[in-house]
Amino acid sequence: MIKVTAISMPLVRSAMAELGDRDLVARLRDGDRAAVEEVYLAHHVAIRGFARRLVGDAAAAEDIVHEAFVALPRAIRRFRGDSSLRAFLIGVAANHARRHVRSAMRRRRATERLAAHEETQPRTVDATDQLITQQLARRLWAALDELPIDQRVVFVLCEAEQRTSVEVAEIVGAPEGTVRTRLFHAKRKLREKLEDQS
Amino acid sequence: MSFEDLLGAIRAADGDDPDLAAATQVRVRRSLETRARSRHQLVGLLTAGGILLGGTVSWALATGHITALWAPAPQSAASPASPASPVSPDPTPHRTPPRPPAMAIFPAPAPVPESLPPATPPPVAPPPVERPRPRVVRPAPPPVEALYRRAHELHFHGGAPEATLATWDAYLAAEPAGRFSVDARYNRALVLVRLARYAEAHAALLPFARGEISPAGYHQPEAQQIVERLARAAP
Repeated sequence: MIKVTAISMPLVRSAMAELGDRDLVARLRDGDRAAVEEVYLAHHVAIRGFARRLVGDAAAAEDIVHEAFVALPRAIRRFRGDSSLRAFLIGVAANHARRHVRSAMRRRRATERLAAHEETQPRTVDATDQLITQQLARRLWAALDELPIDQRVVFVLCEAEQRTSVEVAEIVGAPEGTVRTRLFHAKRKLREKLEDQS
Repeated sequence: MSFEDLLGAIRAADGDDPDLAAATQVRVRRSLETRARSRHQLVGLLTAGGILLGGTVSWALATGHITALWAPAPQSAASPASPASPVSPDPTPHRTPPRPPAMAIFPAPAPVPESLPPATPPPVAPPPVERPRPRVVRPAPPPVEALYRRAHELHFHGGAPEATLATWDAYLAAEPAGRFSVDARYNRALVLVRLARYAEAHAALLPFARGEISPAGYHQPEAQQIVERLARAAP
């Protein structure tokens, strides 16, 4: 009688994803441009989501996504397989985010007056909910603008994307203790900023 | 409003935007194509440069110009010799007025020793930063021309009259109707005067005094004067 071992579906999916990643990484290292397209289709939503949460600006986020995938064929030489390909890509995007954070910050400050005017217009219930969400997000991004980029990245990854400190350490290429320290300082500064605002 | 509310607002910003995703995908593809094209152009340029360099070196090796190819860049002749050069390593002030550049560039030649033929370069020490040039092998002058040079040197630079006469005779024996034969005959006649062999000198100068030598009129006035004086001096 054959004994069938029950295997959970998330584990199977994870193993399949890992095999797919290995194949893609090998093709990327060979300079296969079609592999970049495949990686894009597989991971662009996650990279774009991270970029938007990080900078709070759709245009700047698209620039980060673009630069991360264009840089991928060269950056893949550094990939040692310790983390997933997606985590590695988020790390590449974070490395390219520095100047985009600054430009998004400038744009946000420039449009603050326009945003305040929009908030005074009459809305439906759904639109009002959306507006409140946007308003809250803007407050947090404005507070994030005051943080150093390393602390900002760690905060977004840990708090906004709810990743573990181990994952974040792999993404940013820093020890787990450093990640925790950055997160601690980021949260403390943010609370101070937000308390000052309110 | 809590901190969690703010975080929730940021979490709501997701990356699912099909239109933007498609546009960025095209942008990424174009950027990669442009980069690949640039890399191909660079590789092509480097390859062409390598072929050119290889061809030049091969040609230089085959033709023996390799030393000229690797010779250092020529330096300005004025800079090492000029005392007024701003990059002069000598920190002491100049007490004497600086010499004009022309003097520095072209130093006065040293006296030529009598034993050397005029074709040899003067024994002046070369400038300290003379560019090393590939050795140019000049063909040695023909023996007849060397004889003429030797006689000319002795004649005009204080050589013994006997030796001078012997050298003129040797040249004229070797080339009785050569390029310098007329000049050699005239000079030989003058050496005869210096040796007090007046009869021979008179006979040798007479054709010049009469203008019978081609080219016509060659040293004719001087020859006439000497012939007249020789005639007066003759017993």
